[in-house]
Amino acid sequence: MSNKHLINGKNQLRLWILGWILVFACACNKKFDEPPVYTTPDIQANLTIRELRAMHFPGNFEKILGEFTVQGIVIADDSKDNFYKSIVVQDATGGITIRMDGTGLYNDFPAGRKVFIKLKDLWLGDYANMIQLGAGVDRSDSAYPELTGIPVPLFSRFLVKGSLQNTIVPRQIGFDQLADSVQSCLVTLTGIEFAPGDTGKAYGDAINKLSVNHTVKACTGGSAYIRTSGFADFAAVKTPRGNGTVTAVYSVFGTEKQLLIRDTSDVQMNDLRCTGPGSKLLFSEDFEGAIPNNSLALSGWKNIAESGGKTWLGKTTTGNGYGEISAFATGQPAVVSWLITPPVNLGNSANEVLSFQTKDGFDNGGILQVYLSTNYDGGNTPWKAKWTLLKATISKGSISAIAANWVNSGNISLAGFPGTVYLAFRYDGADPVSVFDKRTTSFQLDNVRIQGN
Amino acid sequence: MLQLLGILVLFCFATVVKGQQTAVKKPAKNAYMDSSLMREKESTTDDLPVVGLNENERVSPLPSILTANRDMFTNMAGFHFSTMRFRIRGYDGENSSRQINGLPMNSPEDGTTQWGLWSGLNAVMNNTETSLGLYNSASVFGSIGQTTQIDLRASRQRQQTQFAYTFSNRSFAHRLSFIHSSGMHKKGWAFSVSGSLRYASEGYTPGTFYNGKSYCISADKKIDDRNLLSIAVFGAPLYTGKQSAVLMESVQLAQTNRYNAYWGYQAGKKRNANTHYANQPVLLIRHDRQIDNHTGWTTAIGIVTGQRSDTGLDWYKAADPRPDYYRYLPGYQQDPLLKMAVTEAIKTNSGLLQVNWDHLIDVNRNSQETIRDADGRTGNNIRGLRAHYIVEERISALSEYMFNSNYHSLLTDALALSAGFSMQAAQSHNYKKLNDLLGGDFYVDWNQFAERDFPNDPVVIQNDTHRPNRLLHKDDSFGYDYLLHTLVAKTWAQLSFTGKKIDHFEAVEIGYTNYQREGLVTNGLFTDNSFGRSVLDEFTCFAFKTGITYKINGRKYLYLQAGYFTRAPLFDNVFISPRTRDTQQENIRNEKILTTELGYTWNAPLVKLRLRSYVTLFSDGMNVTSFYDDGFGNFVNYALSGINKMHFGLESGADIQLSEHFSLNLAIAAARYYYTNRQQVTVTADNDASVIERGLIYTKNFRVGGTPQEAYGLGIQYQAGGFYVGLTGSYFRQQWLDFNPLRRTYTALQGLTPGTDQWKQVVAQSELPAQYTVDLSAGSAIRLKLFHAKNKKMFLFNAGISNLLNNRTLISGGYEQLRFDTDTKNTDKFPPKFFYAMGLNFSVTLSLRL
Repeated sequence: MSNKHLINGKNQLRLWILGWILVFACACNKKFDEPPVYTTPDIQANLTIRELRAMHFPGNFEKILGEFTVQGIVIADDSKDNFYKSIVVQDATGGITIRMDGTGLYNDFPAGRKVFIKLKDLWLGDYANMIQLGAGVDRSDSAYPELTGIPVPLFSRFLVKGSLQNTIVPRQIGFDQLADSVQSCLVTLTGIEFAPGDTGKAYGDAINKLSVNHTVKACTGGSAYIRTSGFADFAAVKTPRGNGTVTAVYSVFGTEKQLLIRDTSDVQMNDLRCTGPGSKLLFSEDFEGAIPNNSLALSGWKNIAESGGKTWLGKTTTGNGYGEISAFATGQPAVVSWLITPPVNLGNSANEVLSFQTKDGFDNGGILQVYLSTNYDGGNTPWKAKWTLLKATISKGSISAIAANWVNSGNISLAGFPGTVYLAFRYDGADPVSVFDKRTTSFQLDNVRIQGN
Repeated sequence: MLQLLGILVLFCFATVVKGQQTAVKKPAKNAYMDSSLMREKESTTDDLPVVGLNENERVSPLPSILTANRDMFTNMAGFHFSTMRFRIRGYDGENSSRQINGLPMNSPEDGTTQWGLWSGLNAVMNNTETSLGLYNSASVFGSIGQTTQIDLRASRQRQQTQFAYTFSNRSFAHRLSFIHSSGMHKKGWAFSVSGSLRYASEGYTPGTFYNGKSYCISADKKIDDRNLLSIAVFGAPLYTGKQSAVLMESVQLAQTNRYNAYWGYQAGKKRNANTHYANQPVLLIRHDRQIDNHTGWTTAIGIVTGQRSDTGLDWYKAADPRPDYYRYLPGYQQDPLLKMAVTEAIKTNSGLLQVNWDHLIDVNRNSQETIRDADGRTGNNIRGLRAHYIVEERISALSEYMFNSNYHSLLTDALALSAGFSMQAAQSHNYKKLNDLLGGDFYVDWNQFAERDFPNDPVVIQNDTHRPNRLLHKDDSFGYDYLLHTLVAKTWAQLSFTGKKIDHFEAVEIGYTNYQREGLVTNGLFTDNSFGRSVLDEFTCFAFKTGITYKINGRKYLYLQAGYFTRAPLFDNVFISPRTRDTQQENIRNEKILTTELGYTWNAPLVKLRLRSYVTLFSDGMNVTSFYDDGFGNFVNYALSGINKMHFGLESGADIQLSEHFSLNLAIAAARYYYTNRQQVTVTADNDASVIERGLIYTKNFRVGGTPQEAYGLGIQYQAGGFYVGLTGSYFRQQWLDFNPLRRTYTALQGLTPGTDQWKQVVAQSELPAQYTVDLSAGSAIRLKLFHAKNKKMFLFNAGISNLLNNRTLISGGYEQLRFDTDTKNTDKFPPKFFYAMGLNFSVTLSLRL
């Protein structure tokens, strides 16, 4: 073993090895630098979108040869996949759809971003009268030449990204103003609703991935289609039944007027419909068929004592029939009784409203409440179903007599509930031995009505 | 000496601690071997001092040994053919077996040798015994391919102290290495300590970096004359940037075949998106007992632990960030003007061919989104920057326990008995981790493919239904998460008979394998079969081999060997989509292998010749390949079964001493590797339990890809005194690409007329052109005085230049892309991807022996 020389060179050796260790240990833990935040460029547009659109002759394809730049704000992107491989850009003078051969475009060109479009070498064309910008013309099917989208590697050549979160105020217009001048513009139409056959339908065909047209109409006349791709995130969402506003990008297909929404929040239809003969009565019960002083047995209704064995009675006063219940003189520590309407179908109507009238008598704390259920099976154990308490005005405070006047419940909206529902009037009282615990209030019920359109 | 050891221990410790980062997932099944590995192997060999190689030469007393140690063919294959990813006899990695100190080092999970465990420990791993084919080793049953036994025992290392420095332009630029082996002391102790550092800020290929360390400490204690105890600890933490396979189109645009699509500039600095990390230390303990003069018994246990990982980009509802995505290249454009415009754009802005990190970060910085019911809490609506691009890290963390016991006895002068038992029990934990949010605030643990298919289902989109809508931050695990439990046990026995004229042996092995997937998350798409343990798969295997050698005389041998093996299918080839669920192939069976070999050996004083021929039949093989399918918009799994192959060929190696100083080397591999039947395929998607398609792949007589089937090498060496120089030329033919099964189906060919050019183009397998390389190596040994030493020290100088002619168009391998456009049937839409070999590359090593 001749490590003597090594010891002679020990210090050099040690330094050498330690040096290397340091170099190597430091070399691979460095954190990656981060680029500066994107700064928006300052570019001047020298053309308006209206002027750009004017360069196009219907049915033609025009290559733009001049050094033109337009600027606009993205009003629709592909974040919800209703727009596909395209974005729509609008300035104060008009809008244009740009075909881009990429997906996930909204990451770079989200709605609200300002973009500068360098037009030289792009092409104008129309797809069934819808004017678009593209990067070339695909003539592989000579009968139907079509614009091709801008290839991804050329995005930065033709499109320069500007500032984010700009807003474009949609134009408030009527159906009669849906003209080619507002193609690819964001428009808002008010007082419109889906045609009766198109309410409650899925926006698009999410299963077969097909686009679907639904007709929308205005109270004042006129119509258009809301067209939705089967690939849209919201394709399976159902169209609303009410009346209201739609904000959408206006598009045409031949002579067909199409509205392309960006998301379902673009459709706000919560008012009463204007079409048809006004509101219709979906259900009503005036209790005139009640047999006085007999347990109420109306067609389709359920009259069930959950506890205390007390059911609702039919009553008549001065020729007016109504229902009544009270725990008085039952001697039962708990009286819970249900009066349940027949099933009511809300599936073919909109903006349903419930109303009824009540009177109380000798009020000492008994309770009447109205509930709604979508899963009650129509059987004799309603307490097993799930019930939603509705907010209603119920007569109360008549301590020493029956209330003199009927109290209106107010209009209780049932608009949020789908399909078939049941309404229940649930009485909760008690007649125990102790005088302090008695809750024997009488309630009278009349004129139960559900209206909708 | 002790001080020196101290420094080394410190050094080793530093390397272990360093292993914090994260690394790469194990290469996907059928993935192509990282070219850096090949280069690594190559560099291992070419800085071996040739003078050293001759030192251990000795004549075996039992002249029937046919090991490949001194076999010019295997030498040439290892040193020169490896440039072209040559695989001996066309065999996959699982057909070679490797032992260290007697313990099996093939991965119980994928069968291949775990090279990475000891990468960089060249000096200490040199002490090997290599054999090819069915050779009867005394200590292991072996495989049908190469069997390599590495002996790390400190007492078996040549006594030496050596420093070496290598400079190279390959995957690393600098290597610093050290070995000290004490030899056996009088008190019965032997130590060996070695280590290396390898580094390149950028290797031969742009964007690749290399940071490798390795260490090995071993000690032997001779308890008495009959008992030796050995312990060894080694490890090789490695962190590298990977190189992509490339399209011809990209290479033409980049105007260099060093093109690498994996890197891009981030704030002006190169960053590689696909990195590999590994740190899996190994501990081995072995006991040798010499029962008597004729009988030895060896027992060893070992542990491997640690993790490997690979990073890559992941993205959510955003454009594909990979710059060589086919839609970004000019070839995708149909319009000639647009094709020109795109070409122009790329040529004027080479950044379009690289990852645009700044853009990815910019997108994340502007992606304000609200996640409803985040982390599964109703009403917990979190608003922030939702990353659309991230760097993910696919991790495989391994714990493996090995046991081996081996008995060898000379029953009579003519008859030897060997027997052994080995076992490997492993558990690997496979999952993904969020490595870098790239400027975003969080990522969400959703399956975006499921989200697209079922847009209104809040359950199926969850990667983990127990933790719905989970917001992910750096280092959070996400995506898939499962354990793989594997057990492999084997026992074998062998009788070897040595006669006057005839030697023969018979050996038998019985094996048991089981494995099981254990899902740690419930995938929303597969709530029934993603979580918990799968059914235990169990296999019993059997192997038998025999060989007979006719000793014509002391120099000429003729031998015939045959073997029949059954082998359990690999986990990766049985589980169709282990990332999402425990679904398995429909018919699971053992693979069968029948092999025979006829050989002739001639050891004359001036000529050493090996001549071999072999035929190997594989049947009932299975394979699963996964790839992203545009048509389904999903990861699609092709489960192939009933794969039959035939490998047959001639092999020759010769070493001819022309004169005192000149010698000639020759190696020939002339073979054919065929698929001999039509394979069964079952197609499923990651996001769908149903079978999409079942059918046949028309693969009869397709070639096995990934290696030249013919390779010829001729070398000339000059050696005098302490100096040598060698020049070797290699020529390769019949190198086929691994084929894409999609193109060879009934569906793919529907609508085409048989025999037309288009038909032929779809069906034809891609072949690389014939290629050749020239390599030069040289070395010398000089004795000089060092420091104030009395004795002279030996300086060794070695240099290797590969691809001396600087042929930059050499292609080392490639594959047909696993996609096909069934509408247009245009094979050029998804053309093959290639790996280019390096142009002129070299390494120069200076070693100092103390």
